[in-house]
Amino acid sequence: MKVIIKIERGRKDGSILIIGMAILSFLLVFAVPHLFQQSPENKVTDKSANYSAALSLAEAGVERVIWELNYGDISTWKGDSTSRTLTISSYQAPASDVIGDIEIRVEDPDGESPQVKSTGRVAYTSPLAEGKTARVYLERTTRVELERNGYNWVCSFPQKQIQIPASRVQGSTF
Amino acid sequence: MQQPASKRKESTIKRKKREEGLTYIEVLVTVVILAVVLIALLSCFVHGFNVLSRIKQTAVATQAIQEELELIRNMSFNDILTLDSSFTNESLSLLEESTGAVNVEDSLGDDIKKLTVSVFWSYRDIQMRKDVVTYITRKGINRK
Repeated sequence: MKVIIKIERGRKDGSILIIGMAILSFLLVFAVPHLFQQSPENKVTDKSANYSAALSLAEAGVERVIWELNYGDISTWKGDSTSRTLTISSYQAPASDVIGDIEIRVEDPDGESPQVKSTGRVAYTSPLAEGKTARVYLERTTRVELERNGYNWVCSFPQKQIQIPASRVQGSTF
Repeated sequence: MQQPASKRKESTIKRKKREEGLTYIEVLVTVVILAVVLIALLSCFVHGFNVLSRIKQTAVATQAIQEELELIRNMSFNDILTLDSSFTNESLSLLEESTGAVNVEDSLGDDIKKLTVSVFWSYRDIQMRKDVVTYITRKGINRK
């Protein structure tokens, strides 16, 4: 009895590789944008956290001015009666890395409405191509005008509220 | 000149055997190629999801710190002096083994304090930390 084994070859050869590669290519279409998206997202989140720290430093500067005017002596700061400045370097959290610097400028410190400009600055290491990094500073600035409330200086915010036309308000973010 | 029938049969069987073996090798090579590419691709995905997880945790920690800082800024100065050294809020429950800490430190005088709000959490057995530092004064921002 003759047993004939017929092996069909030709167009089906290597089809598993082709199908596999097609599936992987399909996955790659999703993977590549996913990978490229991570780096900017990571940067944005880190920057956002550092900007938040910088804003707190800027507010700390305003608090410092209020304290100096109420309880301290602002005349020890650099400058004259038109403007005085103070820089606090390496403002640090306990048992932590350096948080950043504060640069404070007070216009008309001896007048009736001293204007404070306080800038919080936080160091941020930005990754660049080819394994290099750039050390940049993220800044947030707070500007306030101080006013007298009895014997004390306090922080006054604008009394006029910003009116937003109803037609421009969309969604429920407010 | 024709080969004898027995030799022809032998060479046909040899060829068939070689062809069958070649198919196995093809499959093996294919599987290896696909496995290498698939592992590379999967590791990309795993790395990506880890990065996204870390991003989310950093954002949550920052938000928790901001919330706590705003709450403290709206307290009276005397209440701030008696604050608990730890805090908790809803955002912190999203972080693994998280704790919130508030540290009120003496600074230049009795009416000004250095305030540090920190969040600690664990990420893959690595201790993570975020801090925000500021000054709080008796007649400062939000306190008339």
